[in-house]
Amino acid sequence: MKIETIKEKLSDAVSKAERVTSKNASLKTLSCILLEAKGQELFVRATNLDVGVEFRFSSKNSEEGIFSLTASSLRSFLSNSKQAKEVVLEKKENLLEIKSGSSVGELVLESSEDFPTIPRVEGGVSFQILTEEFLSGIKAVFWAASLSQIKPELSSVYFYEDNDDLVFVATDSFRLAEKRVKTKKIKKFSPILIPFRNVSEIIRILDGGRGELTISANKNQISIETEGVYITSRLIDGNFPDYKQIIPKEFQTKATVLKEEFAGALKLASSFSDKFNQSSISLLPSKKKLVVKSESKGSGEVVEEVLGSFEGEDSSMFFNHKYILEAIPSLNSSSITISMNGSGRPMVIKENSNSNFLYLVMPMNK
Amino acid sequence: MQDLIEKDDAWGKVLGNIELELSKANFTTWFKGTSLVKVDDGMVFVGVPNAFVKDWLINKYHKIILKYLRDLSHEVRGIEYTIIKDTSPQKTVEKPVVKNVFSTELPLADLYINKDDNLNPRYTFENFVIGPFNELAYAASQAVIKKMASYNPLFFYGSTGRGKTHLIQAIGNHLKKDNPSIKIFYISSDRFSHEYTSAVQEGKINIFKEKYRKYDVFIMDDIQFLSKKEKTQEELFHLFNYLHENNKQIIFSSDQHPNYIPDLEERLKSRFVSGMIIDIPAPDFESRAAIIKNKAKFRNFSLPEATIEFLAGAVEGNIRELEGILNTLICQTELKGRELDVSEVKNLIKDSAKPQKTVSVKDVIKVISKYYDLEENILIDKTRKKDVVKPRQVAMYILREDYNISFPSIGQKLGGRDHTTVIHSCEKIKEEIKNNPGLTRELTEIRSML
Repeated sequence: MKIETIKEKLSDAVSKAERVTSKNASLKTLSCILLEAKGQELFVRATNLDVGVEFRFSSKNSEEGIFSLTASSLRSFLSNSKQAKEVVLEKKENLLEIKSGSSVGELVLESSEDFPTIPRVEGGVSFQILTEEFLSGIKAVFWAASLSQIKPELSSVYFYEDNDDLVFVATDSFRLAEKRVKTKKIKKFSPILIPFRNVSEIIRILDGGRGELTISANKNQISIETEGVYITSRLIDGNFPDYKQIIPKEFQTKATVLKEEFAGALKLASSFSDKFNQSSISLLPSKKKLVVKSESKGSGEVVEEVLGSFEGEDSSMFFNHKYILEAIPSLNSSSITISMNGSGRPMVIKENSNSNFLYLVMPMNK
Repeated sequence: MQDLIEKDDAWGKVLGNIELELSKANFTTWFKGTSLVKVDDGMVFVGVPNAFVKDWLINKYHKIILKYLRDLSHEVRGIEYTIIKDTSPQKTVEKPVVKNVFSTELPLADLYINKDDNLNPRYTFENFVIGPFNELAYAASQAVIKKMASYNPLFFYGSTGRGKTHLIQAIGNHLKKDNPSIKIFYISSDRFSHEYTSAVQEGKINIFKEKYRKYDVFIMDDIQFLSKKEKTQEELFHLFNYLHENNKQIIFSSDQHPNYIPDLEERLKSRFVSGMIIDIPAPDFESRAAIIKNKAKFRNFSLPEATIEFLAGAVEGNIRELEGILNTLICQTELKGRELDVSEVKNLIKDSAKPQKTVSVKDVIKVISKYYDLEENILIDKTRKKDVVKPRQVAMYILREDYNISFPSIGQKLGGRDHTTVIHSCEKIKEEIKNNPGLTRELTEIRSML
């Protein structure tokens, strides 16, 4: 059996697939990827039994066939071998011969019999969304999810539809990020909770892609399909906290500042803060400025002022600046609105131009 | 067939057979976390942890599973695989505990103690149990809520765990709910004195004074800790005067009547007693039962009548202790996954329950003579000196009331006196308690020494 295909396509698929294989599985086959030549297409599959992924692209096959091999060896051959447009794979007994330009490799094959199937989602709903829209939503919030596994619903990204908007939310109970993505008419579906770890794989695989995604989901499983890619992930069957009740409706203090200046002040503060990443942020309408201050016994103290427009009472609280800096890339406008509500209440950061992104962060006790 | 499959750990047998045929890695990957959900009319429902496993079992192992199930019963028609959550046993054990810790908290600290007024929103009148023992305290609280400063200051005292903190915080929470613009502040005397000292140290005493003078309702818990802190007392005295003059509501709690708080300045004492002083005594049996029921309901937990009665009987006085026992019970029940019977409950609370009093008569006499600074023998002697007669009567009273010893035997132990003498003595002390608060106090102190 002989397969000819574009090297770049195979290389891309294999390196993405390698990430979803499990590294230290008791079952050898889970660290492998599966290649299947069928018709005029080549399929590349991998799974760690949490996420499953399948890539499909055109190839010239002498006959149909299926084989599996360790993902890492194939990936390193493809990435380090001589540059070439095409790659030729040929199965010989239990070896796979690969030719790429002047590089030739013979890789040991594993049994493809035990390779798990990638499940399809049965029942449930399915709807279409643009890749860019989906990625912009999920990328804007997923970093705010909890790393701890104690509450699976918090170490997940929550998304639901709300009046033709897709809403993505993640929280670790100290901060919360919410992103609304306006879409064309979208089908009603019940809220979905994707495990955080799987979300980062999904992002990596879809990143840079265009066109429409077809998302199908039932209670336990979600699948995302686009041109040549099929991803499926386990879902969390749980209840996301009713987060809307903790978003403050009114504000004591409000400030509008330039995002870059604010981020700059926080970065400066971050190099001088104590081990708790603590910085004080003061909104001072009386002086028409925002003051970021941080100090530590070891390295001293630093203060930076940011000008902007302000309203309300003076207010000052301590925050983990790391939490705020993490939100900066998700804010898409050049100026941002920061609001506070007195001590012990969360600070809210929004884009100035619209209310598509909302970030809530709790102050620290000092 | 149903019985045959469900009984005898049928799934365990099937797994055992399959394990022999597969490699260890294959078996653990695909069969760990599977279980038998139910059997319905020949269809066997197998629970699997996720869609990957489901797919794989259908494609790869369906035949062997079916074969071994048929070995157990010929009536098995087919297998249905369903995805269920958390089938592994260790997780189900873990879960209730985790739940206990986390389910009571909302994310983002919104329900925590409010930092503006220090009030804990958990303390409300809705979950406050009113019984004969605290109805007066409750009535006074309601009066204050209806009309601020109708009793000023309002002073509650009672031993620990009687619900003082709950009551005074509930007043604060209720006032806040009725009128959010009222400035309320709750603080324990200990924190007050701490804040005061740091304000003095940092030279910010004026800020401190100003802060406290702006409140409309000032609630201070556990006043007794102010004892010996003279400067703090003085500050409180001025604050009190200011608030009182401006008709702001002041509420205090303490574990003793202000007159008995040691090392408290006279001028403070007299101010504390100038409003309304309410004693919260130990809850009676019915109230204790009601409290247990209420607390259990609040935690969404049902307790059988017998257990409630047993708990109410076994734990006297301290409500906090009741709550602790209830927590233990809930935890144990969730762990065991079934209701505990009374004997298990007994075993659980063996350390918390009031010990049976087994103090000997001799010890009682010893303690009482020591308390009144007398020789032990004098109590037994025939002397009728006034300073001996009273302690002797007290001894008889305590032996009778607390230890239920018969009148004749008390008489005999205390120098061969007639039982009528003992009866008379007990009556006399009972009578005197009504008129002499000092005596009540002496009795409490002696009892605490026993």
